Amino acid sequence: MRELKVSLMLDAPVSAVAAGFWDISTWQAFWQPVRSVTVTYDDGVHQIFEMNVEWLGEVRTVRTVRFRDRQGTISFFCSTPPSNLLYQRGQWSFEQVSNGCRITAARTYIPKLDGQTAPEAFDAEFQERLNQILQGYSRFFASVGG
Amino acid sequence: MIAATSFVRAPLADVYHAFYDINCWKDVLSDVVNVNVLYQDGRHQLFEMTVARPAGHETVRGIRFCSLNESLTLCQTVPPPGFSKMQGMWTFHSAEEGTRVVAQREIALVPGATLSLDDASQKLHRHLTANLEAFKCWLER
Repeated sequence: MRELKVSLMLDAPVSAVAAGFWDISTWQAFWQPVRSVTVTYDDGVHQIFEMNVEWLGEVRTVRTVRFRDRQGTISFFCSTPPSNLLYQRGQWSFEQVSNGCRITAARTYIPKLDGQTAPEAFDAEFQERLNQILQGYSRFFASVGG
Repeated sequence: MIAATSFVRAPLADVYHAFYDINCWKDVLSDVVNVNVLYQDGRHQLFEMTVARPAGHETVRGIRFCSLNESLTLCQTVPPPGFSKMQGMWTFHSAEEGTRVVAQREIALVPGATLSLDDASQKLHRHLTANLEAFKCWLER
């Protein structure tokens, strides 16, 4: 198992940022590889969805279960992980800090290595992808008046 | 909140494992017809379970969040007929010469359900108690 964490600051209240993150249907608007999202269950605490994601020219389906606790932290696992991972679970957590909200993405995963990519290079690429997701969400959040 | 408790003369790890290993439920509970584990990684499970009821077979679908030797948290994404919500947990507590198991459920009924919430709660309590007793007998056999 490998682990990483990425954080980003948003100048906005924690509650609004966390609530926006639960709405997985918006991901298509800020994360370019997402082709479609189908939510199959959502009771406000538990959520199951399928996300069609383009990866290296192919569209693959990722199936995810998310759980939101009382502090707004979203934990998840992928019952069908992205095509470059054998296993993935993680958290999106939201912390009030003096100048806004700090979002932290934590991941525990097993990469599907191709024999040519070193684990460290895989980690660096994964970290950059998470950075891009957080930055995309930040721009999206600002654009919708969050 | 509906709750039932049982004391099992078996080590906590064995009791937790019996409740965690949903494939063994067919051996423990006489009304379980089939179990299909859709995903399992030690911390999370997705499953379908078919049980025999007087009106016929019912299939529920659920997620469980598994905290080793501590708790199993359940959310049925497809609850039994008549229910709009079936969630809860089992918690496991080490006790003298055994393990105490607490089963808790929160329910909601679909609009126009034939049973009242009180009647459904009482029926579910009897069911939870019977299931805990079945696990106790199986673990102490």
